[in-house]
Amino acid sequence: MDFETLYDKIYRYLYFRLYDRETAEDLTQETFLRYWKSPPEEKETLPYLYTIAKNLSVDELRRKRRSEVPLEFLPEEKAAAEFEEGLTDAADLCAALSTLPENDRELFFLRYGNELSLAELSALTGQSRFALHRRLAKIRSDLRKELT
Amino acid sequence: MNRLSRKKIKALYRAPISNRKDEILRSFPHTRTLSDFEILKTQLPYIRKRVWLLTLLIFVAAAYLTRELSAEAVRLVAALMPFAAAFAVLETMRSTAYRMDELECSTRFSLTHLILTRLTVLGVTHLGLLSGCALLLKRTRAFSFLSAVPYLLVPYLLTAILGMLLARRFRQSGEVTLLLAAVVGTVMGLTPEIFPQIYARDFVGIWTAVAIALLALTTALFHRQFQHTEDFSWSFSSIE
Repeated sequence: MDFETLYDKIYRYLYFRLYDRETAEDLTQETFLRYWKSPPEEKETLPYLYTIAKNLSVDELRRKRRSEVPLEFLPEEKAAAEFEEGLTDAADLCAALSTLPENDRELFFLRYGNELSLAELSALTGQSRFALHRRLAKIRSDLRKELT
Repeated sequence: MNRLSRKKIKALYRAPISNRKDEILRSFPHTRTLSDFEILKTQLPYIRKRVWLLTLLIFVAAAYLTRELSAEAVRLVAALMPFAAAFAVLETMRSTAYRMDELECSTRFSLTHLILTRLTVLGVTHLGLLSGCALLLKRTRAFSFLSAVPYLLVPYLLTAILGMLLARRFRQSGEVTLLLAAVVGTVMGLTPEIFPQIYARDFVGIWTAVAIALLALTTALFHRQFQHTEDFSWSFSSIE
């Protein structure tokens, strides 16, 4: 994975935690600066970057107080308005996503919003790919129930 | 309507454009990432010798078949092409067939990247083979280089498409793919017995159109294959 792709993934991850473009950019830059200070083995790059980004965003959220930012890993209304199938579908999906626990919402975002493979998710979370496969199937099933 | 399609979810998670992206990326030191050519070199030894040998054999056979400079040779050369395609498909899908995808996924490069690299090597080699055979057919003076290409491309792509669909359906599809190549090859070789004008100049437009359609279909299939390589290996298709 090249660094431009990695940048996009980390930036999107931070954006959907903080909902602030400038802060997401600053923290993405900080993430990569910390990465370059002690780069890990190449196959550990992605989990390493996500871990740094997550820690930085936690610090930022603590500083801002969590109540000031919307629920994490939910699509924004602005994006929903541009959604090709119309606002109703998007709003329904957002509502369904908001019923999920935060960990599941994060996992769903990483898999489908940030397009991480099961192998990458496995390296990131420490769970087996089979466990992740089952977990994601359960999340999709829950979402489908909410959508019907 | 699938309300949970991958495309829709991705569209919803669209972050605003990062204005400082280029500036931040430029500030990064040089990376340790291997170039595409270096990755390609690492994969060359993993392509089995039989693939190179078959490619060479097909070219030698094509040269032998066109030695009398007869226009009839086109059907025999076209009949050889499905075998090159079958070996390319089998080589590309080898990790799935031998259940090696798990292992390959855990190594330095992703499975998708490895398959794409091997496919690039095989694609370039077979492009050379097709061009070489088209040049041999040009020597017969019955065809120009460009008019000979569709005759060779159609059986090649047809076998590649069907072979890939088979490989996706069955893990051990080796024998079936080779049988498929034999069937396509036989059809290409024997059709002129029933329809003698099939390789005539009048039909070159149809051959070209079919070749373009098959090329588009192959591209779409490979695109989908790469997008879902890992999903296919997990039979994980509930989200499109």
